[in-house]
Amino acid sequence: MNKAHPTGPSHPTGPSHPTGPSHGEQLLRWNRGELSAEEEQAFLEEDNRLQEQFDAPPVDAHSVESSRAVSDDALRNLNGLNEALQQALLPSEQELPTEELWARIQTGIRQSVQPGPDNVVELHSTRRKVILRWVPAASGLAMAAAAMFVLVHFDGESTVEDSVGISASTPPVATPPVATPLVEGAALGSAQEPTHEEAPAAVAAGSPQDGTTVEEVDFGHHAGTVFAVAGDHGQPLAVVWLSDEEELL
Amino acid sequence: MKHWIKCSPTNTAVPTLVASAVFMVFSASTLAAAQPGNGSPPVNASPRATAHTGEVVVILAKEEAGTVDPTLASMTALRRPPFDSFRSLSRLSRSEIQLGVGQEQDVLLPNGRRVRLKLEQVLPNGKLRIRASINRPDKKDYLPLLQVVATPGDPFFVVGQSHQGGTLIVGIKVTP
Repeated sequence: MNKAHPTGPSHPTGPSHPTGPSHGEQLLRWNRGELSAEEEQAFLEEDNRLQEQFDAPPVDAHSVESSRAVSDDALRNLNGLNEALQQALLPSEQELPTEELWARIQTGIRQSVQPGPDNVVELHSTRRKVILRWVPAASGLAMAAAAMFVLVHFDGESTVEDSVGISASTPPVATPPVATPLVEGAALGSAQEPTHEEAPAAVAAGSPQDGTTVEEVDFGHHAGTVFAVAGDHGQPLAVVWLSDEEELL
Repeated sequence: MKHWIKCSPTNTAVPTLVASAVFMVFSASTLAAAQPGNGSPPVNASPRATAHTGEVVVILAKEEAGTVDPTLASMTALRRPPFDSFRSLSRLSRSEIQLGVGQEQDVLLPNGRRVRLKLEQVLPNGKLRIRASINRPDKKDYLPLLQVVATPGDPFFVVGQSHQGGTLIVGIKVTP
């Protein structure tokens, strides 16, 4: 008659002691009932030890208690932190009228987006027609005025030579005549100065377009500047001031 | 209080826009056709043969106390800054010039340089485009180029040449 194995069929059968009979041999002998009482006691203890090693590593009772204590401390700390946060946040939370505030906001939004008879202006049909008719017309007039301005501007840049068909290749005078100084007489802009009535209407006296302006200047090797002084009628008169380090005479 | 404007779709905007565009194109084409060079002569067109007169006045200005030439009293610009820093003004010369479009003329200065003037263009608005230079003969030692657009009768000035302890003021103007 075979005895039931104390740990079942999965019990390891490897040698537990390098010397003496192996645990498997002892198992066979235990099954045949050949073990004495002392051998059987030793076999069972050994078998139990092997079973514990197989199923789980040996557990230290002290380490278990230590980890448990640590966990308890951590849990207590977390609980304390939770209570502190709640105590810190609870007053402000109680002071905030959250529900009331959101209710007021939503009420305001609903009131503002619902057009009613008090906040709707009915645009009369005549006014709407006038607006829709004159706004584009005014835009067209503005664009026409802009086109006119551009054309007039370019008009000022064109030359008479272009208009009368004189080419730009007109041969220049080879030797310019040298003017002779006149005797002392009328000052610049006195007797011989034409009156502004003689000037073209486009440059009437005192208009902002009067005066002289510098278009291009080459100072050469000298330092110079360009500015304007006011003339008799306030028109700007161009002045080119150029340094001269060399006195020829 | 917010106001809402109710507008129903209308078909008046599109024809109005088309009419505006037509008006704009018509205005632009009309203006373009009226420009000089496109068939209509300019109001102030001057034939090339027309000579413009003018004058070049040379003034010796000094900061030392002195007298102001009475012939210069009518030149308001010389009484304004920075010319008012000169307490002595004497006119050294006054030269009359005649310029046709494209023609040049030289004016001798008392320091040996020459003012070379050329009437480049008469603009349709009546203004004159004038080129000027001040140099010794065959050299470019002072003012190689100055191009001015001038209203006829309004002068421009070139200042700064040293002469006899003073400064030369060259006033140039061209009349119609």
